[in-house]
Amino acid sequence: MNQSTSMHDNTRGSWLGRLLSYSLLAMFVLVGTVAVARAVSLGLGDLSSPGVGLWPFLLSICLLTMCLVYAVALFGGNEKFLFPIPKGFNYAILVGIATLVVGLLLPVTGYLPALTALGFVVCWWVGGYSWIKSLLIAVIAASSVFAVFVFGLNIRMPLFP
Amino acid sequence: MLDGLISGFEVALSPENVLFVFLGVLIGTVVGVLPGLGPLAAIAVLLPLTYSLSASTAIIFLAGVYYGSMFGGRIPAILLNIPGDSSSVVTTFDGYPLAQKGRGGAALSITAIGSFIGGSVSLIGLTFLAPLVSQVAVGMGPPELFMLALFGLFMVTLIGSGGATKSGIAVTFGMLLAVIGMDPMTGAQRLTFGFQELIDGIHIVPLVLGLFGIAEVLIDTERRYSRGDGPKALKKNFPSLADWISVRWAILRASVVGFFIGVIPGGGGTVSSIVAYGMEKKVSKNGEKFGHGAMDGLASTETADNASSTSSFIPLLTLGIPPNPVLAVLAGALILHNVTPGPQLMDENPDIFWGVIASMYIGTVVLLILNLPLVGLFVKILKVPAPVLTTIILCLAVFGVFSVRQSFFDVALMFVFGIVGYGFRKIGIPAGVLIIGFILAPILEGHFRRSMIMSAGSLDIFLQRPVTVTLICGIGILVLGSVIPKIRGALKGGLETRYRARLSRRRE
Repeated sequence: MNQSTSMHDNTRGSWLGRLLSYSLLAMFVLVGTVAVARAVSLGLGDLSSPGVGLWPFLLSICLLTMCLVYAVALFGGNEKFLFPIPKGFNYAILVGIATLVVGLLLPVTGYLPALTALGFVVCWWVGGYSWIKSLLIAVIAASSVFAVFVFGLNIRMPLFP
Repeated sequence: MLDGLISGFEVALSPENVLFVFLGVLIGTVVGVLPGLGPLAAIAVLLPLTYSLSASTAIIFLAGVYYGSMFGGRIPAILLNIPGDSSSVVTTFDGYPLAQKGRGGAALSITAIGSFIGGSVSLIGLTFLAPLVSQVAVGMGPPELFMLALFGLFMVTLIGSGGATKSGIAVTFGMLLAVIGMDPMTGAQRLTFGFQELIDGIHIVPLVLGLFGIAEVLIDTERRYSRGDGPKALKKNFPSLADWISVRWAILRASVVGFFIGVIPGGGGTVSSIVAYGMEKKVSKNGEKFGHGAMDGLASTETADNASSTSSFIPLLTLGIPPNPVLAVLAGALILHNVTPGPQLMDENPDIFWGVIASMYIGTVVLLILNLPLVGLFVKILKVPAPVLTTIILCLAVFGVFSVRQSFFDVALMFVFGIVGYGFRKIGIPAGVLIIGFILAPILEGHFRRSMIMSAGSLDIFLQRPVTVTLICGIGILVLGSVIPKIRGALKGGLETRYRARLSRRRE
């Protein structure tokens, strides 16, 4: 764990790290700004009769204030606020994309094909297992969980398309 | 109080609850043993499985997972130098050197007994203190409860890990997520952006599973499971009498320290183990041995860790304020079962209030029984291949989220939160604090609105009551205590820079 931390720390100053840090800050600012605009359009009212938008407005102002402090620290060169990038290929990106694809395809493909594919990606690509072993693990894991939920807890989910 | 405890034992000793206490602490120990899979991710994965259970059984089970994981976290920390969770980091300081000296078995035994004593002392404190706090809290009105929740939020943000700015962003972001959906008073839609699926708001299960379960998977896969080799065979050696004598006061001191730190919002296992270790290093005669295999140092960290995990239930059960992210998820589990944690819990749901406390007595004993003879079995769990575990977690997460509202939108949302959680972890934004914000936001909003109705829109209501004024002062002290050292540091840094610049100019 310590090794991995130091490995990340070495790459904090990279351009990609900076880009990701600014992107994350931009995301929070965007969320805060959109929430402020939406809250104002909902109506703020006053303290004696608060409008629907008052509470979200107060929270978004708090978020934007925190973003300002974050931005000051980031542009001031505080390394703690930079996104650490690990050296070499980051398999988390691969698995992250795979999970998003599965999330989108699940209603179309059903549970078993989608989760088997995801398990296969994890075992074969990331885990380095042979394709047959990966497929076997993925099918067994997906089917076992399906069995627990469907037969044990009576919760239904479309198994196939 | 005694009647309550007896009725609690009646609940906890029902065959179903005994089974779930056992399962909870067993799964918790396994979770603690597996590096990376902390109690938060595990409870998030297990949460959907508890829907079919009664509220008391569900909370008894999930609480068992929590304190079981605290117990199990010491095993990889001592044997592999890999902490099972963040609160076990300090355990590696002396645990691993002891294991290298061939005293791993003794270290595990001492920490098991220390954890048991810490948990038991804390349980006694919980039994006596929780009803008292609850009685005081029942008399509080919306202004006091609003200020109390706000105080808890400030404590978690300013004291918790991650730094005030990052925690502040996380907490406000979490509160903003909680706003999405219908306005609780008027029924109007807020921040749903036309998504029908968001009218009922963001459910806690996809949020928690994404931020912790999926994010954990992504962190784990990042380096292709570079966990290293499994542990060596465990030698069966037991602590000597001298070992027991050397740790007896350390265990007692750490029990008390852990108990009090657990009660504080933002405290928790990590802080308590660090404080107990630091304190023990100062008072111990073997201070110089700390970090090289000091048995009293090791005992103090694990004892405090377990004591704090038990006492952290006090603010949740009595005030409805989760002091740490794991208990925020437990609060979410209570809400899912239509139970509101807080001052009314003891009166309205005594079976849950006392049942959970009584089950912890049983669970602590079960943990000790499990951990002394079966430690070798738990060590073998460390050899479960990580890709297999990841595949199972992904399947459980998808099915678990889908089972909540039969919504594929929730599953997709979980994966999005997974990537957000991964980003948070990489940059050090504490996602746990986000969950506390998410849980506390509706409570804060409800009490704030009620306070405003009471005072016809005047904020003076918060300055007219002794409790709220005290809490405002407390918040002020917390903020000043956090800001002043930073300003001092910045000024000192600025002065140093100016001095160096002047010095270099002179040299030129």
